[in-house]
Amino acid sequence: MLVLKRKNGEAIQIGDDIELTILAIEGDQVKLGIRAPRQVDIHRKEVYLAIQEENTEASRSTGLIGQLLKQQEK
Amino acid sequence: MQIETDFFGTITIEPSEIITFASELPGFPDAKQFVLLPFGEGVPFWSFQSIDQPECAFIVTNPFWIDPDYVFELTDSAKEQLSIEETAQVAVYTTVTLREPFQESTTNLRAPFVMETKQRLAKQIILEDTYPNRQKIGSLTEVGGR
Repeated sequence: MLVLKRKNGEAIQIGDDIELTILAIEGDQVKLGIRAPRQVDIHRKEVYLAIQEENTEASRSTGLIGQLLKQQEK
Repeated sequence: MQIETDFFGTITIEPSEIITFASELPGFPDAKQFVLLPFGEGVPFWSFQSIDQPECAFIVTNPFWIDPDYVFELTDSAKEQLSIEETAQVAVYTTVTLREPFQESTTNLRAPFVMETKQRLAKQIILEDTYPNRQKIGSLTEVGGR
């Protein structure tokens, strides 16, 4: 992982069209400003991971559908 | 064209039925194209089957059967990615995680699949905090629950 030190108000450029700016530092919280093209989706990491996990679990659970359909037929 | 499926074995589909993902589906970076296959009349679920990966399939439902007041706003970015101009072009599905007993099964209201119905472009939208990712679907799994 690349590690860079930045001060309040400074920014990082990623590729041609993504810019990350440190907007404020308050205690243990950092406020980031992100400028990116519209086709780039931006999410809090924990939210993205939760969706990834739920998708994996949902996909694994499809094997139960046969049993459920049988139950519904009764 | 013929495709391998998780539930129905080998089936024939029309290319016009194919749903293409406009952005990566979290957890399934290689699954880009899907078809929506009904389980039968009166069954409140469909199989959302990847045609790139036979083992990648989801059970999906209509979230409005779980929560009639379900509502969210698409961001401009999502509308642009899906080429959406009017709400009439949009279909919404949510994934179902089946659990035993079936009454414990849940659906992911936080991250619906949104599909533009003309070009059949889809995307999993992630809503911040508004809805749970594990909403119990209870009665939908019971006989005549819908």
